[in-house]
Order: sequence, then C-alpha cells, then structure tokens
Amino acid sequence: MEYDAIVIGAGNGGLVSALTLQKQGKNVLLLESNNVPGGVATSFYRGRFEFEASLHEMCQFGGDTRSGDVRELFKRLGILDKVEVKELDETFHVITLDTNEEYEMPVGIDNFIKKMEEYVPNSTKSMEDFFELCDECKRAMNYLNESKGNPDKEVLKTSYPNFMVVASHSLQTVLEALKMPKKAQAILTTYWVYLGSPAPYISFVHYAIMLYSYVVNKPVISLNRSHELSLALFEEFTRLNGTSKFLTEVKEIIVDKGAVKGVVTSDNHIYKSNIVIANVSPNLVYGRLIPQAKVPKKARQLTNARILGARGVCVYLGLNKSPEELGLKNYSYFIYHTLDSKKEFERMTHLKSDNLVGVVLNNANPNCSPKGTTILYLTSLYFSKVFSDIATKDNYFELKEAIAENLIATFEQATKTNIFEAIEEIEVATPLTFARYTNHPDGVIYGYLAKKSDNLLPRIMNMFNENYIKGLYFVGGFGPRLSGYSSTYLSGEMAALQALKEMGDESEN
Amino acid sequence: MKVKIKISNIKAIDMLKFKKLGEEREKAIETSYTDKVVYSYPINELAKVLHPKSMKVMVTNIIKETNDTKTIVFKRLNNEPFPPFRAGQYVVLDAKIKGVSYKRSYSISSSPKNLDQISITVRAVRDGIVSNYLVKELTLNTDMVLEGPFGTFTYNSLRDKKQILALVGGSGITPIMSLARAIYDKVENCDLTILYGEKTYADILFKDELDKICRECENVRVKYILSDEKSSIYDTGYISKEQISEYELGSYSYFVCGPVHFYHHLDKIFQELDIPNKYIRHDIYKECEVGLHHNKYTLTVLTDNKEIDIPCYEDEPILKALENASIKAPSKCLVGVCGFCRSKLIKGKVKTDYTYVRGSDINNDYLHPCVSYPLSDVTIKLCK
Repeated sequence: MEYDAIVIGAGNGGLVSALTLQKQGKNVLLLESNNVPGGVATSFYRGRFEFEASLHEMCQFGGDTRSGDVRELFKRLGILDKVEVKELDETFHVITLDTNEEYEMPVGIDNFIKKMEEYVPNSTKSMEDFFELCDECKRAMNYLNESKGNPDKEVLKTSYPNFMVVASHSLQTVLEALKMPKKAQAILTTYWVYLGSPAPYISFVHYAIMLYSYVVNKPVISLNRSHELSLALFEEFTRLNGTSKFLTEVKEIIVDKGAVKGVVTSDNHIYKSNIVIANVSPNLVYGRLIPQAKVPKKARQLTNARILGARGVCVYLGLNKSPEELGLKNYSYFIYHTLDSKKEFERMTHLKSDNLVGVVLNNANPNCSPKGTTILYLTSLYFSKVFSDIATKDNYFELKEAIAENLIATFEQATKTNIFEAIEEIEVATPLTFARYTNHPDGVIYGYLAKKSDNLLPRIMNMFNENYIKGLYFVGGFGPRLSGYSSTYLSGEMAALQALKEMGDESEN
Repeated sequence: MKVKIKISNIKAIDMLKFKKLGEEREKAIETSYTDKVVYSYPINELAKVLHPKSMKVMVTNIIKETNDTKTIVFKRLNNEPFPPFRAGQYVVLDAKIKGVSYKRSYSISSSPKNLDQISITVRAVRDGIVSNYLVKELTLNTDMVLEGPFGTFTYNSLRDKKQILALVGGSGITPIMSLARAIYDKVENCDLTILYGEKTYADILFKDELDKICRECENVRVKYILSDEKSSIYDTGYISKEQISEYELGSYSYFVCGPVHFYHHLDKIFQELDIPNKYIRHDIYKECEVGLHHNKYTLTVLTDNKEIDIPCYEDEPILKALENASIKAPSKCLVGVCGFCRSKLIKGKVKTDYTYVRGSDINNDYLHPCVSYPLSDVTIKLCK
C-alpha cells in the first residue's frame, strides 16, 4: 500500500501532522504502538478515579477574545467545538522548603505586576519592561514563523529591535539586564521546570513566551482530560478517511539514496511513502529504525551532540476527602527547596530530590471525581539517568513506592496537609513506565535539554537545514519547538506544512 | 508606549549574536562525534523485561488440587525467569482449543519469590470451555502463550492498612494464596487473615499448605467457612457481618475475591458497617458466563479494512462473539476494567458497563466489548 505520508506515533505532534495532511486531501497512514491515541496525552482509570496522565495546563490557548495559537490551530483543524476546556484564574503557587517562602501569582498582566510589587517592593518598573519585552518577543516569533525560515533582516531590526537584542540570551541574563530585583527574578522563574531547564540555560524568549501566554491567555485545562484532545484529533482524522493502525510498531524506516521510501512494521508489513513524520525520538530513528549505513554523518553528529532532557516520576492519587477537607485551595503547587533554579536543577540530578509540582485537579475541574474526593498528582523531574542507574528488576517495586512516599511526605510538609490517610487509589509512573509507553530514550518526557545551541531559536532557525534524510520530519517533544502540549501540537502543523511543500514541489517536477 | 530597552551589560554586538545562533548550532553539530547512534538504554531494556509483550511458555507440571481444580505450572520456553510480579496480579492465557483461540485471565497462585516458574489454579466450571479444557484435557509439555503480569489487586503499603482481611469465595483463593506465600517467603510485608468460604470441606484448595503457612508464619491466619456442609469444626454458612466485625473495624483493609454474587453480598455488609471505599479492594474476578443463546443478532465487525458479519447473542459479551468467530481482537482482563479491548460502536444498541470507560470515550461512542451485550444488530470498529 502506498501513502502520501506515514506518521509514526499518535502523540500530540503526530496527531496534528496526520490530521493537517489528511485535511489537505492527502492519504495518510497513522501508526501507533499503544491501543489509544495521544501518547501520554491520555487518561486512565483506577477505582472510581479517571486520572489525567500528563497535562498540567496548556498555554497559548486562551478564550474567544484572547485566542492563542493552539486554539487557532484547533479551529483550523475543525475540532475546537469537540473539546471542552476551562481557563484558570491563577498562574502558580510556589512554596520553598528550605526558606519557607510562599507566593501565589494571579493571571492578567496588571494583577501579576501588582502582586509582584506586594511581594517585592520596587519591582514594578522591571516587571513592566519584562511584559513589554514578552509582547515583542511573541510578535517577533509569529513573524519568524510566518517568514518560514527567511526573515527580512530589516523588518527584524526595525520592528523587533529589543527581541533582536535578547534573542540569543538566557532568561537569567535578560532578567539581570532588566535590573529586576533578585527576589522578583526568582519568583518569576518558578515555571522553569515546565521547560525542564534552569534560568541560566533556558532561552529568555522561550520562557517569556510561555509565561506571557499563561498570564495573558490564562492557563487552560481539558475538562474531560487530555484524552479528549487526543481523541478529537483522532476522530476528525478518521472522519476524513485517514487510515490508522494501533498496536502496531515500526521496526524499520526504509531509506534509499538519502530519501525515505516507507516503513516496515513489526508484523512485517511494508507501507510505502516518500514522507515519514516521526513522533518518536531521533535517537530511536537514527539509532534503530534506519540501518546505520544509511544514517548521514550529520544526523549522527546532531543526535550525539544533544543532551537528553527531563525524566520524571508521577504519583497519581485518588483521595477520599474533598480539597476543602484536605485544606488544598490552589490548582498547582510548585514545591522547591529554594527559588534558585540552577541549584535546584543540580539537586534534581539525584534520586532523593523531592522538588515537585502538585496539581489538585478538582480545584479547576470540580466534577472530575466523585463528591467528597480529590484527584491529586505529584510530578518530580530528574535531570540525569539516575533512575536507570539505580532501578533493577529486583528493586523496582520497592523503589517506586519509596519515591512516591518521599514525594507525598514532601507535599504534606509543604502544604501542611494530611494526604497519606486519605489515599484510596495510588498509581506511580516512572521513567520505566514512560519508556514502556513511548519508547523514548531513558524514558525522558521532555525531549532534549533546552541549553545553548539546543534552545528554541537555534532549533527553529536551523530546522530547514536539518532534514538530513529527504522526506523525514520530526515532531513532538524532540522536535524543533521542544516539549509541552502547545509546542508539540504546533510542531505537528509545522512539519505537515513542510511536508506539503515537499509534496507540492515534487508534483511540479 | 514602547519601551526602549537599554541594557548596560548586554553589549552592542549582541545584535550580531542573534544571526550567529544558527551558525553556532551548525558548529556544535560539526564538532560532535561521528560514531553511530547507539539506541541502548538500561531502563528501556528493563521495561521490556518487566512488561514483555507476550511469553511463550510450556506446561511443566499439573497438580490435582481437588476433584474439579488443578494447578498448572509454567516455565518460559526461552528459559528466562518470569517478570517480577506482585502477589494478586494475573496473567492472560491464550488457549487454542479445537482451532479456536481463547484468551482468559487467571490470577497467579504461586509465590512472587520463585520466578523460574509460575502457576495458575483453575476450577472447572459448568459449561466453561476453557476451564474444562485446562482441568480435563491439558497435558504436560503443552506450549502456550501468556501475557502479563497485569493488575492492581495488590498490597500497597502507602494506601492499605498493614492488616489485611481477605474475604474469599471458592477459587477466589488463588490471588490470596499468592499473597500468603509471598508473606511466608518474606516478599510482602503485611499481616494477612483469610476468611475462606467454600462449598464443602473437600472443595477447600491448598488446605495443607495454608495450614502449614499459618503454623510457621505468625503473620498469616486462615479460617474456613463452609456453605453447603454442616461441620462441627468449621463455621458454616456465608461469610457474615458478625464474622467480619470480629476483626476490629478501622484496623483492616479488606481484600475481596470471589464470584459476583459474593461481591454483592459483601458490598451490602461493608455498607452496613460503614467501611470507606479506601479500605475495600476487589479483584476483577468473574464467573464464566455462558449464554442461553436467546435473541440472536448480527454483529458487523470493522477491522483491517474489512467488514465481517458474525452472529452474536443478547446474553453473551460482544468479545465472546468475536472469539467464537476467530476474529483477533485485543483483550486482557475480560471484566471491563483494563480497557484494552476498547472499540467504537458505529451502529446499534447495546447494554454495557461504562464504569471504567474514559469520559471522552463514552462521548465518542467507545465501549469495552468484554462487558457489552447486543440489544439489536450491532456494528463495531476494533482499535487495532
């Protein structure tokens, strides 16, 4: 069977690529190794709780009046009315364990600046500058996207001068340059774990766009869990006669004379296509799916140059008390030992790290579980292969339980609540779980570490030069827009548009 | 009002730096090493060891437990140990009987300590195709396929009370037997009291070993209760509220395993005793249901780009109709919990159990065929 395009993996990026192409009248084959679409954008049941597997909150969504990029994408794809979302009225609540600090930040630029002034007197000026700069960065990025790799230097210089100045710098450098008081910098940086890279590493532009979207567009959750988002994309793809195969693994990508020609699945079927969009890691593609002799030197060098990003443990808790009974008021709790992101990043290379983000789903979605109960999930990241180093088949169950116990105890201590006595259901996902379901190297969940030349801008600026094999594209967290729901969705459309262009070029020849 | 950002410690050349971002990345790539990309990660390998897709096994021993019950012992054909499991988990067995492939889930009855072999214990039920085959016809050295281990009917020290009161009906003893053996072998660290209801003395499974474990291990106790036989030594009748109340309320987690009517009986008692959900764990045990084949309908199955019409019956799960017609469909637990058989209802009416179906799946007409019964001609699409 010959297809216009084959998509490997029905994660966020793969689903959007598949639907975008199918919607353009292309004949797409979508292959997925699990039995549901979405990858980790899904949900699962334990007892009377339907747990969200991965979504904390989406950025770049917004509502009618502040429609964000992802919402616009969903509109283009015809699925906006198929998903029920809710905007949140808080950004983050951060608690420090070592210094006993606690900050709660609202949505809306004015509110945010005002609240920051309360916490850090004389921060207003730098905060105003910061949000102005965010706005310019956001517009500049839109311009870069529209220019499809060929921005006009004059336009950049005249319309986005400040963007040009900060574009190559880290979050920390720019906040310093804005003369933002240290404490305000520290509070502002709270979201760093969402991008899996601390303030000295993460690109200012990348962080600024995310924070700006949360503050302006508001954070958004999917009321029927992220599974509904994945399913909406998949159902629309199917309605347009897209072909999908579940429980089907790809064992080889066929490459001939530097171009993809199709794939071989584990049941030894051959599917032909000149376009393959990989919603899996380049490590898997260049390390296993394509015979080494056919992997170009540059592709090997690029893959070898990159650093794997965050691994994670997620503890899913179904509690038999309501959030009020437990004393949990907020939706998200960022719990760190200190607000120094670099220091905490180092701490999180060790397994005993108990920095975590806790989400109380009911506080955004009151009907997500039966009356008088709470869904709480705690996520902790690791920035090293420490879990792999320690886990064995003999200690795995114990290790999982010990880590979960440690995280729950930390959450209790930070929020002054009693969680253990209310646990009715508990499930723990580890790097092994993510490796099992996604096949990502070492079970990473955030793709590659966003650092130096592997930050957002260099990735986007070079993405057109890095198609080392003709017809092969990468989407998802390992792709050019890095990880996170909004980024992976948008990466899917970007690749599909590139592929469309390639197909168009071919028909012209 | 546009801000003009004057940044003293970012130098003027930084404008140029923007243009250099791409070049720097190029350079980083060019100076990186050219060795082949190695896709080898211990945790990905461990994931495969712990969660194999399926295992080829051989029957190495068949032990007669009672007149109608046998323990079947397996070893892997590749001589690898079985993946570590928690007492209470189950495996899915693929039995080929007269050319038809039947998948059934059985709790592992052996101890998690010994992974060179594992065993299941099967009681032949009236009209049960697979259980009768396993008990009466299966022979040594037969090759079979197992999937798993799966399941969450396991002790969790963060959630459960350290004292477990297991309430067992008949062959529901199998996962609890695994737990008793695990405690005896010091693999699990909890305290287990078993109230084990059987029809008659002669039906009691594992009695000698259970008694031995109780004698030698202070953390395991068992009390036999016979429902269909008068006895001067053992309690008789059904497990009662009074018997459960003998164990201090609020100090135990209750692990329940037995036939469906047994669950209903106990659920009523738990309600009367006001025991919170948190302390009640149910295994996904279910009796083999055999339909009387009343009300026959046509089931149209969309799979692999084909449309196949097969018969189905109002009193048999749709998954069973697929099985009878030898249509390969994903399945694991068979009781609506795991969601592996998740399929889309395209047309027709069904009676189904949505308890463990994701909310958005329900909104999009998905169901679990293992617990769905046709009420008209039905069309479903398999997810594979």
